[in-house]
Amino acid sequence: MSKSNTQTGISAPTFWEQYRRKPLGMVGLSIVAVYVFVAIFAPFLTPYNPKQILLADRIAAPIWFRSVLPKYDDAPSTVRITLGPDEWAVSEATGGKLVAEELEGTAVSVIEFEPVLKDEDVSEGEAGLLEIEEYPEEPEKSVVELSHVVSYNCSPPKTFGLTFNYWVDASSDSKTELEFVIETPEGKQYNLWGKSCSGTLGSQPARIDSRDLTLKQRLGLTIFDDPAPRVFSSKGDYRLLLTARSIPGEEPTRVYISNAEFYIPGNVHGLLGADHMGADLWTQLIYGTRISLSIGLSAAGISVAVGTAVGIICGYLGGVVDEFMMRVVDVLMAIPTLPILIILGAILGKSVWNIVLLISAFAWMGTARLVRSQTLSLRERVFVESAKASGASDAYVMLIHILPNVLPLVFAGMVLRIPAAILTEASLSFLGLGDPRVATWGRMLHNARGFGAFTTLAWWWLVPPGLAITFLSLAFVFIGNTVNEILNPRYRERS
Amino acid sequence: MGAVRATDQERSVGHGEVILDVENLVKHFPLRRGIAQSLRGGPELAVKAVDGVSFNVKKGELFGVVGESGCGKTTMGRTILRLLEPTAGRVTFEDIEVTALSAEQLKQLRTRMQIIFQDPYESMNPRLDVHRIIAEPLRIQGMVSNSKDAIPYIEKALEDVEMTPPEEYLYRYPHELSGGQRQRIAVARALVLDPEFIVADEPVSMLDVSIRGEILNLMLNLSRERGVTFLYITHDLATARHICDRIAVMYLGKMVEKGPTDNLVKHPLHPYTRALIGAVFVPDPKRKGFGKVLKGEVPSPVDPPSGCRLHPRCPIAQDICKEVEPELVPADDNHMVACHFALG
Ligand SMILES: Nc1ncnc2c1ncn2[C@@H]1O[C@H](COP(=O)(O)OP(=O)(O)OP(=O)(O)O)[C@@H](O)[C@H]1O
Ligand code: SF4
Ligand SMILES: [Mg+2]
Repeated sequence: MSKSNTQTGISAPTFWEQYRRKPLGMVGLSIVAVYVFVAIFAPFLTPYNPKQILLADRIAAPIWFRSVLPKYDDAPSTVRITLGPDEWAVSEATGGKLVAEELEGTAVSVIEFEPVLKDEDVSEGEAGLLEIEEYPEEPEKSVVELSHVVSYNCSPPKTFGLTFNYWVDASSDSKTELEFVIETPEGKQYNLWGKSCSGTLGSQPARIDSRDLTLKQRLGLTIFDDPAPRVFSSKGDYRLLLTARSIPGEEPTRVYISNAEFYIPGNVHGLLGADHMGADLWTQLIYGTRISLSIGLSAAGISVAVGTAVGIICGYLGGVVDEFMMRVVDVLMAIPTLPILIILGAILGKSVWNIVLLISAFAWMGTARLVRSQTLSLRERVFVESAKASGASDAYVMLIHILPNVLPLVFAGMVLRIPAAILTEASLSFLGLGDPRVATWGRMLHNARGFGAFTTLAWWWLVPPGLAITFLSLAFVFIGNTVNEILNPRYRERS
Repeated sequence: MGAVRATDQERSVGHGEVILDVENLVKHFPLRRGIAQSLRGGPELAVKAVDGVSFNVKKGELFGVVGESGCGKTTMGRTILRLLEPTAGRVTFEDIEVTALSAEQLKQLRTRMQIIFQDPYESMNPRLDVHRIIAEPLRIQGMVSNSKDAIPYIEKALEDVEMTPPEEYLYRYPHELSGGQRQRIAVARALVLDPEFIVADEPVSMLDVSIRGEILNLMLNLSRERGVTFLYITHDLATARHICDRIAVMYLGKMVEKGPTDNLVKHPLHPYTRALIGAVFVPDPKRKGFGKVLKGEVPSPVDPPSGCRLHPRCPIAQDICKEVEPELVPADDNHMVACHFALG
């Protein structure tokens, strides 16, 4: 044990003084600082959260492509309109009206038709009979037409859709019809959906989707035709028309329409486009920073803590414990990690915690060996004997004299273990063994591979997570090597 | 170093009461054998660092153990304090049998027996400051609960080793101190528990010649003024002669001669002691065999020579020396020697 190793008793200000002068170390530190900033402020850096889907069409390109690539000049960006009682305009109304109602905290549009006013004369005698005969031929319909204008100024979209729930409250002798029509700027009307019922109807979902076969049939198209480009073929103001017709009964007829979602998924979206589910890729990328950093730090922290504890205990106490643990280390080091992780990951289940624990479980051995060998020489140091001569216990010596003296060695190792853990997690996620509930960079790559980013050459999906992993790993390697150079000058050549 | 020299009067071995009694102490370090060797059988090999040493130290005495490098002095000192487990033998401190104590009892005894190490830099954790280095024994022994309580003890210890004002040194790190200051800190650390007995293992050999005297003086004062008993281990007979009341000479794990300092230095009986003295002091041509430089190297303690361990190198060896090991026998008052021909 030479004096140079004793000098590891370097104070924090001195350490920083030396660290500042290493350009690579400072580059690494700055990069990590950026990542940490992104991780902390992720919610402020994106309007979405990583769980939101259907924000755009599948594999939508970044929105800034519009100003860079002519092909995307007027590519549609997502149109999503929520239509409640305030958004609908009543463009035609006979015998009925639109009222807003509050149901369980949300506003619902209610179309209310007046009941038939039974004429005293009609109810008795021949007149009544006559009326009934005439009834089917010339129904006396009340109509309420709701409309909303959407201006659409992009090239034709691939799909569009409208969803809402509706239900009808009416007496059994009533009849009600609902219809949805889109009117183009040229005045052409596409009747996309219709529904009729008599009497009361429970809550029903209306899912109008341009890819729907019945919708295509209704428009007289073949199953290979796409309605969306036809309907939205030009730029201008489109009118969405939701019409309710009713032959009211004795009671008033009320047609309830929940908030309707009108949606034209965009071909371009956000800073980095969207994935196969229409989720925002920029959001996934920056939330991935959180996950990757936490996984990297915690896996490195746990594995180094375990390795240090095992190394100190084995090195200091020696004997059977030492023999046994060192054989365990040999075995764990000999078996290839990734296949084992894949099997264990499949058995234990895909949660971030499991992955952290698994990565740690196979990453502590190097530290254990290093610390053990250091401990073997430290325990022979005179200051250890000096403590023992005052009655120090083994635990005291390990904690007060051995641990602080192995920490510098371990610290650099820990920094270098962070990128290893990040890469392992990314590999596992890429292979589909990651936690499906959280967006990590590995999972982004996994999805990109599985859902066509390669075939469609959606490089904006592939490249960012790849670069994110690369730069973060590089940054930690820079920092780790710099720390090593300062704290453990003897290991300089090795790294 | 003249000032250090104790007067003959002070050296009178009249202290009487025995504080430390070592009986036939043996410490062997077994050699690790390869598997092939173990299978082949053969004798268990061991470094016989200390191989049957007996002596006692009296209360308030400065007892010197002198010997060449590798003769087992440090091992003996450590074994006496049970920093090493003895292979055989018995150590008694006052009426406590040290070699039979449990770990808990031993911990209590450590407040009464302390040690000062050779290299003051190595004996201190470079990550701790003076304050924590000196406070450590107090904390381990549970005598103080926090570092603030320890301050009065530490300041007293620092004053005892003449490091004043104490506050000036409290928060320095070992590397911020000179060699002499460091060794004073080491002494202060040993003193802070107020022990009765201190093993000083070559406390000055790493120090600059100019400051050796200060540390030796310090030990002498502690011994005379506070009655601390010292077992002073050294390879340097000259320093031992200056401060010790009695001196024992070791060779290859054995004690070959011991006696009152003046007696031993002026009338050495063992050829090895004579050689040591010859190497230190101007030889007296009137005395036979004095100052003869021993031939050859010190043999390995793994396989020491038969009979008298000095015989391959002894200028006056006879055949009997190869076969019969000489006992340590009294030559005159308090003076003992282990040589077939020392008394003849
Ligand atoms: N832990 C140990 N394991 C094996 N052999 C040891 C051990 N400690 C000491 N020895 C051996 O025991 C013998 C005596 O060593 P020791 O350190 O006691 O001598 P010393 O008289 O103090 O020497 P020095 O003047 O160099 O300090 C030496 O041969 C040494 O190599
Ligand atoms: S016993 Fe023999 S060998 Fe040993 S010291 Fe005396 S004379 Fe020399
Ligand atoms: Mg020694």
